[in-house]
Amino acid sequence: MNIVFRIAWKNLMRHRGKSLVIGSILFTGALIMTVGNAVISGLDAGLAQNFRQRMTGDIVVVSTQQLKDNVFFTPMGEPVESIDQLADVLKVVTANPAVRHALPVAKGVVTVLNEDSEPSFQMLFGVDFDNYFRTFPDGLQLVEGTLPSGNTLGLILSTQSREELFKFANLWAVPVGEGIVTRNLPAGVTPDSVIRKDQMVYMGFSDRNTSLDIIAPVRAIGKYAAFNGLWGFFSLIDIQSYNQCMGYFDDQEAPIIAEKDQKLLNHSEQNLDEMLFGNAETTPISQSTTATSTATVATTSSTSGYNLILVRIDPKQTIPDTILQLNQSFKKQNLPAKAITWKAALGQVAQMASLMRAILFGFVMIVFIVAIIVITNTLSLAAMERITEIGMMRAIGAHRRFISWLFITETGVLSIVFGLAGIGVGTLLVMFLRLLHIQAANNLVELFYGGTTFKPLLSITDIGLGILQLVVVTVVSVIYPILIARKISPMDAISRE
Amino acid sequence: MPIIQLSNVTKDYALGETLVSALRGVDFSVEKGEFLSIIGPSGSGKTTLLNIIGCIDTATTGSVMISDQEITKMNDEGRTDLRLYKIGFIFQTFNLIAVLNVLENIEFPLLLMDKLSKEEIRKRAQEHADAVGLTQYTHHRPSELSGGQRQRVAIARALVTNPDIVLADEPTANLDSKTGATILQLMQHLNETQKTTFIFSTHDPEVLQYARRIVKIKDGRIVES
Repeated sequence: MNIVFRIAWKNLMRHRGKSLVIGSILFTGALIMTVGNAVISGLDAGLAQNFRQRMTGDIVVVSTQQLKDNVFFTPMGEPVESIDQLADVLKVVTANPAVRHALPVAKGVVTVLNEDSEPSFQMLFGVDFDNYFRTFPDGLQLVEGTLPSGNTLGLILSTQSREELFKFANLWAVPVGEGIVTRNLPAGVTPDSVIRKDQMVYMGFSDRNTSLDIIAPVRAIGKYAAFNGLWGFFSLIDIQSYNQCMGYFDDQEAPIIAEKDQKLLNHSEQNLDEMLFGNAETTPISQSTTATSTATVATTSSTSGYNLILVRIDPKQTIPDTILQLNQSFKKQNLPAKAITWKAALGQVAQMASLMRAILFGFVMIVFIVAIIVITNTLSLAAMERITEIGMMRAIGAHRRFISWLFITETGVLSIVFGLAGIGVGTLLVMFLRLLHIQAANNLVELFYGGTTFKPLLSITDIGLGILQLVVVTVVSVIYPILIARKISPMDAISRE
Repeated sequence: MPIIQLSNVTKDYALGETLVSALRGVDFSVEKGEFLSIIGPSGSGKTTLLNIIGCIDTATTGSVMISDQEITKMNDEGRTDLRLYKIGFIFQTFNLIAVLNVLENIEFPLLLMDKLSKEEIRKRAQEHADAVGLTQYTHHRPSELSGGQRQRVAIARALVTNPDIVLADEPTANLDSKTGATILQLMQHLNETQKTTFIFSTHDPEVLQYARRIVKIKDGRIVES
């Protein structure tokens, strides 16, 4: 056994009290850092899984006309610019070998018209349902009804939107032909106390439409797998209905709508007030048939309302590289589109998640620094108490490097024993915490968890990071005590005697 | 050729704002194989002189040659090597490593040298433990030994590297007269058999009978050599 290790080990055994103090700090520090790292990784993995794999994709393509990258949660429902030359843009996106899925989405705000109450508002994603479920296969959980597919027209209303509508107008939306599921009603609410509704009357908010409305049959009630409180503001509607609602028509439909509403359009401005508030001829909401009567076939050419393309890439590829490639391709082909990260598209929501991550990281760093300070202090005191021993060793012929190694070994042994124990216990604690399935109480906590359930994640990389942190704590903690010990001369020992 | 050569060596200490001169121009040489005692009253500079010869302390001015090497120009690394390979030091107090047992304490300088095999180190340490009469105590810790036994461990540790010079600062000061005599006889025996140069400081007249040369020091100056 090496003499340094032998003396170090015997010293540790001799000064068990101090060894235990330093060991306890190392143990606690390693444990907290391990759990902290796991929470950060869990948050990252949760955000990646819940946002990237279930909601936003990895990359979002928007129009170059779109000034702000924050496109999902725009303030006051601020519209997102439509993507021109969508077919060409899509061709570029799907041609990129890194791209696995590309989902064009039309995002907008509609007024929910209701005969019995004031209008309310909802946010919609106009999508091709088949493509949506291919892109985000586990993004949405069916609560009631049947998920629409193919050319089915209609709506998947989110539970969040349904509850908002209930709070606002006492309406309880159900899928077409289905009754009220009592267990899904809010606590204390009975089926006969609500107004059952299996279709929504929407009037779109867009620069092309101020008066058209459609009836969208409710096909299903869905709940997002995570962040339902946040993402649940968006309901899904087939793109055909969305476009009609927003006033986007393809060449075949345009004349039909124009003819139908010609009378309204021909009114002079002076007569509009009379038409809206007087005795002018109007169509009751219940008889609005725009979408259902004319748009029986969803066409893929109805692309004018699309303002986002959600892109999922091969997990082996990196987001920055793919964004760079896509933007170079857009530029090369002179297309008015740009690719941005999912985080940029999420705006403040992603910033809030980043802030949570930063707070967690800061907490881990504080533990890290406190451990260094306390260990440094304890070791420095130990070095001063060992002046006679160290000075005597130096007098016999021990070099300064021997003294350095003695301190490094002593602290290293404690780090290995107690630090690794801390990492081990931390790992077990992380596994235990995952088993508890702790649910997020609100949206903020959900962001902190990275999903609905608290799932700290400890990968081999995280354990490696924990060991690295332990090594750094050990090395940094021992530097100052070593400097003190190296300055001790044989004369210091003799003068002490 | 002297093994130790001091020329005009001075040593000043700062004691608060006062400068204390412990050595005031010492000229002194020692031939190989001498058994020499430095005597003088307390505070005369005996320990300072030994510390400077032993490369434990540095001279303020003057020249100190040990085995033809000028130690005043050496860095810490060089002086440490000299202490390890050429000099054995027996301190006034016993200065053993508390956590190591007798055999491990004796082995310590050999382990620092890292030149011999583990078995050879153990064998040589055992031989020196036997030589100082500690065969029965090799696995005892210093705290389990008497003062005389501890001093014998220190002597064995000082000799185990076969140094050219052994310096002993009042080696019997903390021992009873019988044990002190035993220690001195042991040192004398090793001097005669191994031709090791011994320099020890004392102000005990009984110790002086063992010395073959006596150097008197007073007020930091050699007054008789």
